[in-house]
Amino acid sequence: MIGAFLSTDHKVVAIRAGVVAAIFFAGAGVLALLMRAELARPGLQVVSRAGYTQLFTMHGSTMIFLVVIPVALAFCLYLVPLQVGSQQVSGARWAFAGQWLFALGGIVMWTGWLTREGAGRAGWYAYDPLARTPATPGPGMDLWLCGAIMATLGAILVAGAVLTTIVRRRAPGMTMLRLPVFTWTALASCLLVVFAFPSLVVAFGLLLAERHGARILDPIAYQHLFWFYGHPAVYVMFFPFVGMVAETASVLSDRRFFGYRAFVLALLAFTALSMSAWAHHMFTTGAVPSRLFALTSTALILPAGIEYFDTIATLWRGAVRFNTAMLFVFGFLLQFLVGGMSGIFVASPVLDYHAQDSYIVVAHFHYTLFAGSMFGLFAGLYLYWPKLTGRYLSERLGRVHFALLVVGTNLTFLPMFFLGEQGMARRLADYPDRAGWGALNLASSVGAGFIALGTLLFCVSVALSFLRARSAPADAWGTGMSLEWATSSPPPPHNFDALPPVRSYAPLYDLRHPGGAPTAPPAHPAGPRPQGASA
Amino acid sequence: MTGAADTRGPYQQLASLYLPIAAVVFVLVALALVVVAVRFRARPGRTPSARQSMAPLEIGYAVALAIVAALLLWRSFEAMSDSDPVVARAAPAPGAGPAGLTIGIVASRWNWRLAYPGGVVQTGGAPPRAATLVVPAGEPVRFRLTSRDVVHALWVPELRAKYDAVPGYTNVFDLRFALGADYSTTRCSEFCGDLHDQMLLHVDVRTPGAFATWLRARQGALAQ
Repeated sequence: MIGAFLSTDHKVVAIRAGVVAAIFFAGAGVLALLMRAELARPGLQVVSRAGYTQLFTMHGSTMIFLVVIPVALAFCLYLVPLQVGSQQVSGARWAFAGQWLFALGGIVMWTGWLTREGAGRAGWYAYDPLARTPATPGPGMDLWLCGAIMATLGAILVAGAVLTTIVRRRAPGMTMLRLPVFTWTALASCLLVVFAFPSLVVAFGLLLAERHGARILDPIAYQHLFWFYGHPAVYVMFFPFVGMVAETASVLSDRRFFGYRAFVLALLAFTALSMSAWAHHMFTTGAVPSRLFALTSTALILPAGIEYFDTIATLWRGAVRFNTAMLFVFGFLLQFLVGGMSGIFVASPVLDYHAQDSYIVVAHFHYTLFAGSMFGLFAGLYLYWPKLTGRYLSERLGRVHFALLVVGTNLTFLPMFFLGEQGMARRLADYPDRAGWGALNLASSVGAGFIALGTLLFCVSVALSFLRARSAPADAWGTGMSLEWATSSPPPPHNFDALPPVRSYAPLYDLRHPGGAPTAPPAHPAGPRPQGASA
Repeated sequence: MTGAADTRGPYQQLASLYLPIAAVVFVLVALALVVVAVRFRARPGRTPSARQSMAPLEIGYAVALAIVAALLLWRSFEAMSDSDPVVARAAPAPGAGPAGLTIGIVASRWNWRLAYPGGVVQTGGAPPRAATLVVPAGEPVRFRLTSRDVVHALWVPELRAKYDAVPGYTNVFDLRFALGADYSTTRCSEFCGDLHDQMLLHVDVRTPGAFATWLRARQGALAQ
């Protein structure tokens, strides 16, 4: 039992991080439901204005600092050593410390609720000077800043461990261009964490100093520091889920991932661009070179478009199995598209002057983060649950779970585009009773109920899975591509008893297709196959 | 449609370029997924293709993406030079707006202080009793916007325009209001504390003649 808390096995650490994140996800979900209850009708019915301020601050910051980033990194921590064929993560104690920093940071952040002035209430980006003491007094805000700093330091430690593993612990034969697709997305995310996240530690550290007497910050300088972290953070909350979707598409259609080299190149371009797009959050300040940041932001069409193309081309001409994991892949591809394209929309300054800080932006980032990343996470969870536990999740409940989430997600977030276009600003405890606003908000609140139901059903499904026998074989779906499917489900503490030869980015596919497997580096056109491949 | 201080026109023109492209892309992706679901579903006898790349197609597709991105950027930059609404300087050169009228706005929690030529000042009461911005119709009006405490933003949804009010910085921009348009959603859009939702701004658009009369009367009242 103590081992579950103190183990440094990367798999146990990752699952622990996942469990802690799930607890905070439940908490953030309750806050979201309270907000939607308040907004269901015009007027103030459920909470006070000060209460509402804490609800949206704690919802957003919990989801970002304590749920999506930790879950993304936990998946990297679990999967990367298995995918590169390593017995353990490099820097296991860094990962251990990072995971507990997530948990402790979260606890510190949430203890703010116990203080008289309440928890953090300056919004998740805590703009200066709003976050200084005169406008936001009380220790709750200090606890919030400390908690966010701790969780962010945790992320840096975990990312460092994952990066080092990729660089130093690859199995014999695994060149960089034979890394599985998910591992590439993990590499990109962890690079962003290591280079961009220190900026948040600095920004929040300066805010803390400012709150206790220092006079050093300038509002625009703070925004640069914050968004230099804040924009790459968006991609840390995206890339690993792209990787999960790519793995799911590949495994469940029995196809090697299509266009591997283009995908890797696109991912690196994505990483570079995402670190040079931060000031598009600041177009309305008038204090940034808008054309430059419109250029870097709009250029994201290229890598994003290539990743879409490669994922769909992997499904194309495959033998696609429509189980729950694949349904979530389809949900991701269609819904994230809405989020991604609305992102290109707000990357144009003239369009952003209207959309910024309106419900258009709220709809946009929930389509990327919830309709996108969360659906990618569920695809990955359904695909890897047998690997994590040796047990399958119920397909019947899974389909209902998917249906509830699709209805709930779109009912919640689609009306927000129209509210924003019509002039509803974000972060309002109350809104005027204009024609249509009540109905659109009510629809959104009903949708949130569907999301809650779907999430409860998933919890039931998880609980039921533990009543089943451990029946999953090493290659749980029979069409695994990379090394994680070459070891038992769940894997032993040392991960592998033996490793198959690694001659491409899909060594298990090569094993299933002896003779046809290319021995040259991947992405060369595959030779003729015994199956009579036609492309 | 477009001209000096027009913000709504460039927005509408750009949106009518972006939204149809987005709709076409969505339909194409959805169609591709329908084909996958119908034709490439796993069934007995179906052998998946072993092809793993197709360089000419991939390169051609990347070029197409680049062309779309270039088109969007070109039109975006054009729209910016049409109106160029945000021109902020830490200490802007003094000078009148295009039509001579400059209104200074100082935001503070949770109201606006509007300063007209000749010392005329409009303020509001405790929220939600908002200040009233009186402007002439049809003429470009220059604004100089700043804040006294935290970051605020002035959003005029009807004009598709928004400018941040940052303490220590002055945001300079031109807007043109029309008679009969609905400006009732004008408000602060940057979260600024608990009463943020009550930080509204009333807009009262008058004919240039009526505006001049109003301003003279207010200036006269000050002189006495």
